[in-house]
Amino acid sequence: MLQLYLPIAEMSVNALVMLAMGAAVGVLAGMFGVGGGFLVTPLLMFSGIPPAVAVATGANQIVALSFTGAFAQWRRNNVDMRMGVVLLLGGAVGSTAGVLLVRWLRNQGQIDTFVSLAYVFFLGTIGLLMLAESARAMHRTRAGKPPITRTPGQHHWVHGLPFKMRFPRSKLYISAIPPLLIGMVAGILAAMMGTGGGFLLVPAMIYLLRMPTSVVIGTSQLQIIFVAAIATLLHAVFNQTVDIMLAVLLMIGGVVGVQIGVRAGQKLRGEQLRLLLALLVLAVCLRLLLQLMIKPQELYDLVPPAGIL
Amino acid sequence: MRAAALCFMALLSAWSLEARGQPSEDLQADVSAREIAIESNFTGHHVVVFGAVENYPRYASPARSYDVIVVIRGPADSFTAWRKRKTAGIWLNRDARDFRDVPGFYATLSTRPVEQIAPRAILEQHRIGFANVNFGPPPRGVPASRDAAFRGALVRLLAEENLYQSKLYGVTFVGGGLFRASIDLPANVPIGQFRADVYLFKESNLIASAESRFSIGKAGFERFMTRLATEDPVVYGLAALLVAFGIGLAAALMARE
Repeated sequence: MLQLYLPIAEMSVNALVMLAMGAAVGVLAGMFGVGGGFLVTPLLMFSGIPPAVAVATGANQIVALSFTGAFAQWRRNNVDMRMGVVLLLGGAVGSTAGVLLVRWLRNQGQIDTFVSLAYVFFLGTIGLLMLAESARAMHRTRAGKPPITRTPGQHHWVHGLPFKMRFPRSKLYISAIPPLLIGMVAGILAAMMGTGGGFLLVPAMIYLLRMPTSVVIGTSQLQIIFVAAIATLLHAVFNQTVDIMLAVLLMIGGVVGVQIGVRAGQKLRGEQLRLLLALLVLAVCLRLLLQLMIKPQELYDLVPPAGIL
Repeated sequence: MRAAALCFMALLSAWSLEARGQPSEDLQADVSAREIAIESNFTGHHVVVFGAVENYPRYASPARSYDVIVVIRGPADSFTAWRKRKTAGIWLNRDARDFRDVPGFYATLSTRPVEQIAPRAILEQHRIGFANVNFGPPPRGVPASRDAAFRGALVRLLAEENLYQSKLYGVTFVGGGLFRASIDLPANVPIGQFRADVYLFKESNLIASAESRFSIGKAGFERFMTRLATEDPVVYGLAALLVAFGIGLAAALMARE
């Protein structure tokens, strides 16, 4: 059934399965504004693609998906360019640091565990926070009270930091330090986990920076384009692990999925969307946690020798 | 002088065999493919190793007395094997063993289980069977028992991917001293030079051997892509991004309409 040999992964895959996988990731990307990398990388590894190729090729797919998404959001004026640039500066530093960290951890043989632990920690924290928040918001709507929007003059520790900048599109006047740091952490995670960092960026922008939700998705997608592009290029140059054939399959499935996701997202309310994302994030977190805790059937693992990757 | 003596001895032995009416057997063998090209529809390859026993006695009931073992070795590869141990509640990679230049593909095919065909010393000498693959000496400070566990794990993991195969009755005599053995190379087969060694045994004695080679390489578009990725990685990386932007833009424009 439509078997296709992948020249870089050096294995044969079912083209239809890869298209479907790309589409599933695209639906998520369109719906939540996350890149979907936290899903595509584990899915690819699960289908037998070597982890290094999965990470690099996943990044390549995310470039296409976030470009489609950001373009659509930009046309609706839902992108805060200024915030995007600040996040990106942090992201560039972070992804370079991340690539170096990956190299070191891989040589120690701990990369898989570290990645899983990092996922568990971040996904768990974010998932629980979002779950609590969206449940509260839904409860409030059901009780007939108006949803809490930003109260003017409300202060947060984030607002007390120096180097204040004005972000007109987000109606914010805040220090540049938090977006820089958020961008940097997202960049580190992007390089290490093969994600664009969207699952971290979106909640961080909503809850820490208090950006309007309408602007958050487009802005995070803008940042993800560049972070994923940097990661793709670095992986191609240093590891030679980007498989363009596989990436094209994932992208074609993905861009179709994005359109479905965007339409589905428009039908759901903000807090429902956040509840769904929270549940998804927690499910992935739980699965990874169990994988770490339960005694594996196979205690041994084969990896390419240290220093090659 | 010495050559003359050797020549005389060879003649003598040939004559003595002739005298007993039993010319010495020899072996001819070959593989069904010289060069296997990997293209986009590659899902593995079926290889047949075939051959003939020369001077095969017509009258004897030979199936019982002759045995053939075929060993196929792929290009050398290196791995690090890790073993997990429970540490602070989670399973972490703790112990490692490096394997340098071990066969990336290894298969034995035989008319019967190899242990029944030949004594252990012969199998060890010719590195026949998983237990006799050259995995290199154990690293310093690693006890032999633990090293054996690592070797076992390496073989098991590679066997799961069909990169290590053992077909106990994979060689069959088809009559008149002709034999054949077929093997499926999986799609994830390593790329490079392969070597098929064919050993002919008679009543547990190795009496002849033959060797053939074949190679597996990428062809056409697949070769082009791999070359570009390894020799011009910057161009390849930029091409990957260009493809991504192209598909992304096309989708965005189509969705607008």
